[in-house]
Amino acid sequence: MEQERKSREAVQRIGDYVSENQERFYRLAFSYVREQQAALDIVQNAIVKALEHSEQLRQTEYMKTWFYRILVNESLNYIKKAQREEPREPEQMARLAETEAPEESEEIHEMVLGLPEEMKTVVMLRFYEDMKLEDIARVTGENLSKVKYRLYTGLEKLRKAMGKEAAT
Amino acid sequence: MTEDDFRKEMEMAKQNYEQIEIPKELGEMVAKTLDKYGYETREEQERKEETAKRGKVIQMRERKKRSFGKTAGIAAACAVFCFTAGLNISPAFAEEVSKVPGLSAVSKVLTFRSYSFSDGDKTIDVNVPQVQADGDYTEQVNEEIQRIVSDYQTRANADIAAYKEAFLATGGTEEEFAAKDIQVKVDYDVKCETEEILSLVLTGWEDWNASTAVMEYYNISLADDSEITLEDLLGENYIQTANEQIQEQIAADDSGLFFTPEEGGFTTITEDTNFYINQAGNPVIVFQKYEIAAGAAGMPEFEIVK
Repeated sequence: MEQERKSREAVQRIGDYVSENQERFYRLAFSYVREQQAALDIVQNAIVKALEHSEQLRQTEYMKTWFYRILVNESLNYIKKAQREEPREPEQMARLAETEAPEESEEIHEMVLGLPEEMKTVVMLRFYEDMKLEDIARVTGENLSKVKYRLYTGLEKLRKAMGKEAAT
Repeated sequence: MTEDDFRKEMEMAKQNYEQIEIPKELGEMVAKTLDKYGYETREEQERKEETAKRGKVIQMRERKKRSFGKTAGIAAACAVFCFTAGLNISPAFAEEVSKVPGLSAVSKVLTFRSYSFSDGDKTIDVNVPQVQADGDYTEQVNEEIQRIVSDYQTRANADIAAYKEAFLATGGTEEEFAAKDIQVKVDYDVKCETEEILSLVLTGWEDWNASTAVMEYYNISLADDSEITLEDLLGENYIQTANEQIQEQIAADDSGLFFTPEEGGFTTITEDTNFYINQAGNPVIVFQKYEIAAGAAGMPEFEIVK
C-alpha cells in the first residue's frame, strides 16, 4: 500500500515536471538528431523510461539532472542506433551537408551542433540550459574535472571556428 | 575574438536554440504518454476532489445555467446531463454508472480528455470531447475534433509567438509579457443530448485576441451514426423555411444592429450554415460576429421552429 502510494506520488511529480518542461526536452533532443519525428521519439522514450524507473527518484532536487541524464542518454543511443542501422541514409547525408553550410544567422548555433557529441552535450547544458557544472557532471555521469575539460575544449573549438569565420 | 564578443555570439546561439520550432504533436504525445502511466493533471485532480464531495455533481448543472422544462422527457435529458458531468469527473464513477441498467446507453455517449500546460508565455487549457459510440461516423467526428484541436493549438502558438515578438520589439520586456498571463482555452458545450441526438459546440479562444475564436458545430444522430443536417430536421424546403423565419425575426428586431441586404446583411442560408440543436429539438442557426450584424449583436442566433 505504502509502496503504491509512493510510486503514484513519483508519477505525479515526474508528470508535473515533464508537462512543464516538454519544450526544453524537445529542443535538446532535436539538437542531437535534427529531425522532428526522431526528436519526438526520443522525448517519448525518455518519459517512459523515467516513469518506469520512478523508484530511482528519491530526492526532488535531483529531478532535473536525473531526467536530463535519461534524455541525453536516449539521444545519444538514438544516434548510435541510427548510425549502426543505416550508415548511409540519404536524409542523414542531407543533414550533414546542412551542418557544413549553415545559414548566416544560425552559424554559431550550427557550430555548437557540429561539435563532437560529448562536448556538445556539455556546451548545450551549460549555455542553453544554464546548468551548473556540478549538475552537468550528474547528467553525464562524469567527474567535474572531465566536464570542465570538455567544456573548455568545446569552447576553444568554437572560438577558433568563429575566428576563422570572421577572418573570411 | 575578444571574450566579450564570444559571449555575445553564444548568447545569439542560445536565441537560435530557443527558436527551434516545437511541433504541435509534442503536447499531445506527452499528455498521452503520461496518461498511460496514470498521471493526473492538476485539473483532473481538482475534479476528483470535487467528486469526492458528491453534492457537487448537482452544482455542475447550475453552473452550466441550463434551464430545463417540466416535461418528463426533458427531465430525463437533465438526468443524462448530470450523469455526463459525473462521468467526466471520474473514470471510476463512469464505470459505476455504466453498470446501472437503463442508464448505460446514454451515459456512455460523451467523455472528455483534458489537459493543460504552460510555457511561461501562455497557459493552454484543453477539454476535448469524445463521442463514445461505435460507428464510422462518430469515429470520424472524434478524429476531426482531434484535428481541429491540434490545429488550433498550433495556430495559437504561432499567434502568441508573433505577438510576443512584436511586443518585445516595441520595447516590452519578457517579464511584462509573462505578466499578461495569456490563456488559451479549448472547450465544448453540449447543446442537446438524448439517446438519439448529440449536439455539441467546440470552442477555442485566446483571451488576448477575440478574433482568434473558433466554433465548430457537431450534430450527430446516435441512432444511425450519421450527421444531422438542416434538411433532416426541416425537410426538403429547409432553405426557404429557415430564410423566412430568419427574415421574420430580423424584421421584428428593433435594435438596429442588423445590416440590410445592401449593407451585406442576411440574404440566405446555405447547406453549410452553422447550427446546433436545442433542448426542444429545433435547429438554431448561428452566424459569425459581423457576418450579418454589427459587432455589438455578437453571434446572432435564430431558432427555426419545425
